[in-house]
Amino acid sequence: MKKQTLSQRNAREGVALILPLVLGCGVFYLVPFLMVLRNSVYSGIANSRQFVGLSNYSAMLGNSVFRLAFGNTLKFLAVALPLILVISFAIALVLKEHARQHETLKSVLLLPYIMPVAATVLLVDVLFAETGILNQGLYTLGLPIADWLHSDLAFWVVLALYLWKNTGYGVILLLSGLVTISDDHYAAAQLDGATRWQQLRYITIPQMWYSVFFTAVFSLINAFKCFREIFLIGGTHPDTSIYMLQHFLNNAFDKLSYAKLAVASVLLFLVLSILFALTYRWVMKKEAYKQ
Amino acid sequence: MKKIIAILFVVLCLTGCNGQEEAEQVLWVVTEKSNSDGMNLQAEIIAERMEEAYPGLTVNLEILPTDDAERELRLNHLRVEIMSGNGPDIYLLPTGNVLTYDRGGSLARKMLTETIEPLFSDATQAMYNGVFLDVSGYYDADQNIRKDLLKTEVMDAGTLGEARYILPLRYNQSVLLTGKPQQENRSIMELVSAALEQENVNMTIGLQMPDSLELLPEIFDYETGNLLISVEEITAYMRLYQQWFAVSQPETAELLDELELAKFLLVPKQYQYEWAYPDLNLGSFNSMSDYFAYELYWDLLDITMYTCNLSDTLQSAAIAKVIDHDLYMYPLQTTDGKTVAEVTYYGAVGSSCAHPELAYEFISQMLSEKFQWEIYRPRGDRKNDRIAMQNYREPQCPGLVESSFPVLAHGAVPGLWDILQYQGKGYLSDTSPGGTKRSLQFQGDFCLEDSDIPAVAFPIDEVRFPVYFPEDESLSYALSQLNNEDGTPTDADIDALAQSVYQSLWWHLAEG
Repeated sequence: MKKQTLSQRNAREGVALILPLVLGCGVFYLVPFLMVLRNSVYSGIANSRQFVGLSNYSAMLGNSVFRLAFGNTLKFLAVALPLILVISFAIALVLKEHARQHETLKSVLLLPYIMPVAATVLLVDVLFAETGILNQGLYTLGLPIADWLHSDLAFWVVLALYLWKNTGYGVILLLSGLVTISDDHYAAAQLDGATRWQQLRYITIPQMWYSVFFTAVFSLINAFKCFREIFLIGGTHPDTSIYMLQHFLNNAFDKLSYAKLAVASVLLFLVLSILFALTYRWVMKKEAYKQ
Repeated sequence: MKKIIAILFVVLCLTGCNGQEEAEQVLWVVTEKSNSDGMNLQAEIIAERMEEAYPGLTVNLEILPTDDAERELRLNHLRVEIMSGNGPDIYLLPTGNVLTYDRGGSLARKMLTETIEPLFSDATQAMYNGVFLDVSGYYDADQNIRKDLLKTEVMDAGTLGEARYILPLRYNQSVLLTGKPQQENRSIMELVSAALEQENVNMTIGLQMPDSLELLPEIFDYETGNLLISVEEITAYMRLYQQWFAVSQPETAELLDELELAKFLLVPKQYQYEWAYPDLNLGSFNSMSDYFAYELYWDLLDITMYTCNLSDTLQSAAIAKVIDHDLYMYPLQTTDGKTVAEVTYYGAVGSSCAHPELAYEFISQMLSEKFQWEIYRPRGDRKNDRIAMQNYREPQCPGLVESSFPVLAHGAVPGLWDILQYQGKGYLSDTSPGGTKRSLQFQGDFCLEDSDIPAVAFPIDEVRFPVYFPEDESLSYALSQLNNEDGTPTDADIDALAQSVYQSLWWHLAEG
């Protein structure tokens, strides 16, 4: 029998260890996605299925409701992601100095994240309903009141809700990155007369790209999770400003429109993959100096 | 040896599979609960026949639950099954979202209506989405159906191009009844506007503007995904509806109150507090049972025009014939002057059906004369009417008239009249003086023919499948915001409400 080298054995063990994960991903993610991809170029279901090529895609791009949903989703991501990263980073920087002293504060930051969806929605209703606390306050002050949940303002309410719920989680993730930066770097910089701003720019930020990327990915996932709250606030058809892609997918499913469901999913996947790839490449470049 | 085992294995597999295939022929039929229209009963009869004719075939009749929570779960499950290509073989479904049946259990029958979420919010959309199988081959070759008697325009609503996906089974259309001949067919908007202008209260009461999309112009272009209706057209309809409601509602309520009192006084004292009597409503003015009991009929109340649906015209024609009044029927046109019919019940073969020929045969039996004209509905022993009326399972409850018309329309009237006549026999006459005499006028040699119901021959410009909208997105909800119960207009902004209705239509078309 041929004797295996250590590296060969390690490789085999590695493959054996990773195999369940690869199989799981293949069965539960890759195969369904390939099926969706296939269905996106067909019309009909089961025996009535017909190959239609890319006509589902062209129809979808001309669908005004899909464009609205897609546009709203991208707009929400474009505003929410940078905002949550900046706010979380700022809070994490403030907390960094006392990271080990304020364990309770860190737990408090996570409270909104673990709060049940129903309670969150109730809170939004109490605050932003037509007869909610905010409007009552405005009315008392003699200011004009607004329909916060059924007008364009709903977008900003949802944005605030997202930030309130997820910033704490972002802070924790970034904080864990900040504490890994060696204090020696800052001490050396201080000896060289670097200002706080210079320390942030030349020491902290360059070493935080991985953490920021990681936080961005989780914030993106949480942004999609935010649909639960939006759905409970506005139902299947909320104000047009908060009609998201998940609304479209959900409603298309109820109406048994497999083609629309498949095409919307593929297009969303494509856009997110491109964004992810570009960001990842950019972060890789920034982190290249470590190699 | 290995070869022999392999051959044996293959042979066993093949024979096993064959035997299994024969035993496993199953037709899964999904339908809704029904009592008064007898559709469940007819489906059961067909299922029994099919099982007898094809040994090894099992027909599973699934009646969808009406309990909200249970139904939501079941619908979600069914939708997943359909999307994954494992859906039902046959759909036998009513359109719309209201199921009507009798609650039974007492001498005075009580109609029970239940609002449900339909499995398909829009059957046309489901057809475009490929939920159903093309059965045009079977339909074209079918020699058993009397296609010459079918309402062709209605049947064609189930086609897309050359392919036939849905077999409509019943339909309805709005009909205008008058006691005097009219110069021309007019739209609901023109009629209501004229009634309001002339301040003709009786005409306003008789013209019932529907709170649905039924009489609005064509709405959806499924091919292009564009809405054909404009916000302005919805606004105009809503504006007129508000004016009509403000006049009609208080007047109707007053008239009904007067009639209720008169009705109450007609009943012998010993029964006045004993039985629960169904309330009168606008439908009472054209109902045979209310004519028997209280001599109510719209033309006798000086209502000059009365709107009803096609199936109700049978009762009107019968009463008019008995009291020797003239009766004229006109199609009630949409706001843009078209004659529209709506499919109310349909059958379709699911796209995942493994036995499409059997599934088609099942539905096509629903198109036979006997099923269309409901001759198969059993008849109780009318010698003891009270017991027959108390029997909950009896599908032919007196006074319950089917809510729509069979697509095998030509030649249907005598058969349908026979049923109405039979149901009329169950009328209890001891609660109102003269009731027996009036009900007997409808029995015996009295007969209705196709020529008595000209509405059956009305040409139809457009046939629709009604579309379901969640309550707060529907036109009826928007219209309910416009007026208080007493008819007083509210401050609700018609333009904003019309815009929200338009938006709902837009969502519906683009998402489906």
